[in-house]
Amino acid sequence: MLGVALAITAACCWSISAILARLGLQGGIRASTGTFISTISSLLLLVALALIVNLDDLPTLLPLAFLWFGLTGIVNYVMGRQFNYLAIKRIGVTKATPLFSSAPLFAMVLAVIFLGESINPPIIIGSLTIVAGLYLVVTSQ
Amino acid sequence: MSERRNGITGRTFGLGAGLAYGISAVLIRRSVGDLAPPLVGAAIAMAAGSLGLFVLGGRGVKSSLVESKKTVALLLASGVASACGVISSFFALSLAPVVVISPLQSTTPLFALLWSWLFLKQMERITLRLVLGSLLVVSGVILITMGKAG
Repeated sequence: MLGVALAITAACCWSISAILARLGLQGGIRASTGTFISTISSLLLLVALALIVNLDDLPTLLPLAFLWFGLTGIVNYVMGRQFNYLAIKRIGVTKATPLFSSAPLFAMVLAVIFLGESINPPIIIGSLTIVAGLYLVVTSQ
Repeated sequence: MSERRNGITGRTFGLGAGLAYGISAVLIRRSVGDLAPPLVGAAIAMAAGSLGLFVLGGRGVKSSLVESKKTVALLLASGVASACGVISSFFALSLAPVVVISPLQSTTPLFALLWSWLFLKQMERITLRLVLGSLLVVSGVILITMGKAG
């Protein structure tokens, strides 16, 4: 039950984050600057928690871990969060959020192509459902 | 920039963000368990991302602070909320299977609609088409999660 409550809390937090970004990006601030400012507070919280929970694991980390997660961070934040904020600034939260929430569709296609993962009927129906939803969002005025 | 052009680039950036998050999900799937504990991996990724964003947008921070402290405070709060989401998600996944947690987390657009309807009525236009589209995206994500689990 606690796991379920935390999962709903996560969804709430991410949506509140988008709402706050919408309010913060209202003025003349550049989206890249706004994105950087928001990552500062995220970074401080995450690093603090990582140090508390996983302090013993840190000396054993391989350089490859820094390389791989560093690459992930560039894609996720420099591209993902920045595009996310650019979208919020231009079209608002209600239109932008479903668009970037379609990430599992892109992840599924990439995983099939590059990781050789298999697909089944629920995945195909889910993908078509997302595409239909994206069509409605993209074409809404 | 005209409103129409703004709308097109905004939608493109939204889908671009979805693609970027999808790519990073695949990268994480390839690496997590083997290379570092998930929370440490998330912190390293965010540090690298922050560095990249500093290069792109760091110069504007000083002038933003001078122009509007409220803007900076809202964006810092946005970052705190986002990190709280990541941390909640991390602990949720340690307590329950991904097939339970992931669909619940995918409801973010529905919460965004709710908060916008409650607090951003002047700024956001919520239409039936938008609500239906969001519901379909969330349903599709849940189906994909179920399919992967099965």
